[in-house]
Amino acid sequence: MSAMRRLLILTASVSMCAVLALAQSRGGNWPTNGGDAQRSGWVGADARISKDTVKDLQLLFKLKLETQAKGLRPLMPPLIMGRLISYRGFRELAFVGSNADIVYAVDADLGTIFWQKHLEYSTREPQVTASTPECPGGMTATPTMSVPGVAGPRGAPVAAPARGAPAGPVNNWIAGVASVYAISSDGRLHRLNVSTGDDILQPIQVLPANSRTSNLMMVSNIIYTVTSPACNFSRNAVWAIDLTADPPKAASFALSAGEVAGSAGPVIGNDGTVYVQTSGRLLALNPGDLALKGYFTVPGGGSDAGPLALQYKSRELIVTTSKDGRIHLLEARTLLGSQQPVSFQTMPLAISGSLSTWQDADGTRWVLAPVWGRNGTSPNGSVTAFKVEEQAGKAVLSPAWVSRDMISPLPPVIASGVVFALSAGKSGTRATLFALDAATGKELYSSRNLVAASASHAGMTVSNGRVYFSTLDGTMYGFGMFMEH
Amino acid sequence: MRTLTALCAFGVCCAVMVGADWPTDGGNPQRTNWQRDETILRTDNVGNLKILWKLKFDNAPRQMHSLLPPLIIGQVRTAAGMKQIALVAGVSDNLYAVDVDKGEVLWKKHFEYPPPARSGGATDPLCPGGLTATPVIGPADAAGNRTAYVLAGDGKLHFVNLATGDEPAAPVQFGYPNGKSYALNLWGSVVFTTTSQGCAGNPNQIWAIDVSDPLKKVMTFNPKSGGLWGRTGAAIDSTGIAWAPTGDGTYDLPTQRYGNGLVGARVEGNELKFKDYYIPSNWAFLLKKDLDMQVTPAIFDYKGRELMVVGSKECRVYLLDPKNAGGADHQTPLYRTQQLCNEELNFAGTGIWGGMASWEDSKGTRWVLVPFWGPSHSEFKPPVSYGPVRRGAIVALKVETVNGKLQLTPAWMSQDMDHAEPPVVANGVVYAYGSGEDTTQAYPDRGLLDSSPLRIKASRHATLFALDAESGKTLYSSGDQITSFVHFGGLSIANGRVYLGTFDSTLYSFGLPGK
Repeated sequence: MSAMRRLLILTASVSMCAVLALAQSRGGNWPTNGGDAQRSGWVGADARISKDTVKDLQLLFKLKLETQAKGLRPLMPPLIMGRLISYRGFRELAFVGSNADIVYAVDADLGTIFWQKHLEYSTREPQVTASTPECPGGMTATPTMSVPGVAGPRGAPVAAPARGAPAGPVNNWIAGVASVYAISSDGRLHRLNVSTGDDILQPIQVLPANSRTSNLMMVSNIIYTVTSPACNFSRNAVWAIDLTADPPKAASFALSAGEVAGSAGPVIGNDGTVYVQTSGRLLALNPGDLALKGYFTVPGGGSDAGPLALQYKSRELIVTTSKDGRIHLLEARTLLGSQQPVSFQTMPLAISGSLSTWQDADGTRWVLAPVWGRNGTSPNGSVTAFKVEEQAGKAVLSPAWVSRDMISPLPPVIASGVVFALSAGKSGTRATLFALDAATGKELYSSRNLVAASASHAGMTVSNGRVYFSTLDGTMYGFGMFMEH
Repeated sequence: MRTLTALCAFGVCCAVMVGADWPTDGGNPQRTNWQRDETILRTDNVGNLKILWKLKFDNAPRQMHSLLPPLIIGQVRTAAGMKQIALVAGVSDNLYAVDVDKGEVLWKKHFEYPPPARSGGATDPLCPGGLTATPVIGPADAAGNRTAYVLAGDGKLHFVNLATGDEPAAPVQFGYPNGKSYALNLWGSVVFTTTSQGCAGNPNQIWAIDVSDPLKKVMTFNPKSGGLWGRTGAAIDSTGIAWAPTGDGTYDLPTQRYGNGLVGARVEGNELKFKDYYIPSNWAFLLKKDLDMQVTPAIFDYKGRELMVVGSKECRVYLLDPKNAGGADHQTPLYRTQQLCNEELNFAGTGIWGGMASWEDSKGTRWVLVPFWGPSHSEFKPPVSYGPVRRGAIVALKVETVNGKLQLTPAWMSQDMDHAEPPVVANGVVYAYGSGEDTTQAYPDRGLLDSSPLRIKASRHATLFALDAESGKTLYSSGDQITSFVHFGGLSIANGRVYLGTFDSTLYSFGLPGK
């Protein structure tokens, strides 16, 4: 090899490393289940992941964490804080909730526990230990960090304070150091110091104890969640916990029109509207006070999948699914009007869990659905991709591709034009992680037999070159691109 | 003739007694921190070390900075006869010449200039402004005069007669006001410095100026990194290449970015030419964790071959060949040690900081001395140690050839020291000190908050140690005799005396009474 060629190769490889390292050093975030206020599952461009490099994905670590043997969500997908300048050093942390009422901070680079916090059950209501599929017990809600309210991919750097800048006083529920918010099984809200796991303030009762709480979503200093079904006589309701009040105030919207079967939790539209899918209707609620702004009666009843908000050209669309497996696409503005909105709907599919969405470089908006059951040549399950297209001035979903066969696939996550899909597997089998070309569905990577058990149904996370999920035996997995330590 | 012989004998005797110099930070341009000419202090008497005098200067600390390491010239011809002079710079643009025998100030200079338009943050310890570069003293000219090159806080390089404090020539601009410059180094007629941390908005680069150049052209090389903040600036190899660590930053050849590495540049003609570099293969991880390459290297001879050692906050030591640093890919050192400390990979309060030292014993064994802060790594188990190390220590490594390959073999680890700083070595004795400085930059309840007032309040006091250089055994400790801490200071040693300046602007002179 000539000296010039070696130099070119060296230059190219160093340049690529530099790009990757720069992105790494900035540190993208994944502050809530689904990644953003719209729960799109899309991280945007990830400098360490591409269609070309994803074949080199590796199992970076697996970590056994304490869980309780009940339900299908013993561990929740991690929230990611890309860069924390802590008293113990610069850290990329993955915050993982466990149904054993524990929040873990895992060092995402090293795959080790940075801290763990047991959220003590402490309320007058006795702790319920019985578990059913509908009411599994324990902590059920993925915690949240503060989530930017504007639609679009994440990856923005963490706003670290300047060196020497004074940190604000920690005297209420939002000021001061960065925090993770969690609601324990006793219904108390915890504000945890991201550096230590300590409760920054005395935890406060905000929800009924022993209820099943959906994934938390904190936008504009308000934490949204849903309690449903009425586990242990708790209410079916949407909740908005206002952290600007001290103590925080909880507003609620009673779900008289039906229960919420899934755990996905509310999504937030671009204007702050709170969307919740019940068994009968898709609700649009006012931010903060949760006043009803509009609704869509889902034909045949809503499924257990959460809704999805997405931006299509200059319009906001809301995607929801019905029990019969149809996907409904609505204009947000019509949903918020006085008339019952009209939707476009797909052919029925056995969709389970929530949908995901992303937009490619050409501006094409995609919707991805985890399908359980036969779809085309995939007998057990698949990820099915649709393009949002315009027909006669109306947004419609156009089928694009169906992935390889999977068993009980989870809602996929997307980064740099790569779809990460998890075949959760059945009891006694192993989960398999796949990376797919987001444009074609072609398989680019398979974890094959690297995962030892079937997957938790709580979901996946992708951030900063790594993909995370967990298995029903309480093991957290981190796959990603190798970085020399 | 007999008189002449007697005079010569007296002169030789004087030279032996007080003839050694410490004309630059780190003792020499290679920054080995090795005083080769020490004869008074030995392993068998250093246990009797005492404070011979301490001198409080009227120098106001800025942020955490106060006094820079003194420079020592054993024999300076003054109007009052030959004197041994310690030249001490203070951060508030003060320069003191101290009569070492008397512990008195011979002369003092203060560099006046209008307040610069830009400065660092109000409580930011990284950018104190003022005089931050240890001066350097040139060789005697034909008339026997020694010139001290002093870089004031306004970026002007002054030429100061060591004997009188006079400035025979006008100062020249060699940097920006309140740009944080590091210890000056001198190679031939070229003065080098480095800058870092973008203080007052100034660039981070290697600087050079040929003081014999009538135009006094300022030459620079900018590696586009977070800052070249090896405490003692650049170290210079036998070919005149100035080597400096680049702090943090990206490594990207197309845009000529050399962060998290070590760069070398040499004056050729009237340009400072970039010559070579080394980047650790895990630089991206180091960048992510803010584990900068920020230690001034030490350059030395090993069996006729020039070698270089450098370290980082990650707490590894790299052995390099200055003629081909890092090999063909610039990422392959001759040897890389395991982590000696910083198991937690923290960016503050742990790791190797400042500089290193190297010396050769009478048997020809080449030693490398490494200071570090924080606990030793649980997997680093040197053959000799002196109890658990929690706050810092000195580690001694031997340069050895094993199976035809060079390596750094751990020999001993010292007792625990409160933030061990770069040691100096002389006549078989290693002098080290724990700075007692609080190095906290982030807090559990407040996050990142690097604040001078907080750190000053939490700092303790420095402690000087003398160690047997062969075994690391403690031969002397100053205990609590030093009452303040040290930040950005350093040790100097010459002619039986060890010097250390503290935050409260006090210079301590340790030695043997009557020697």
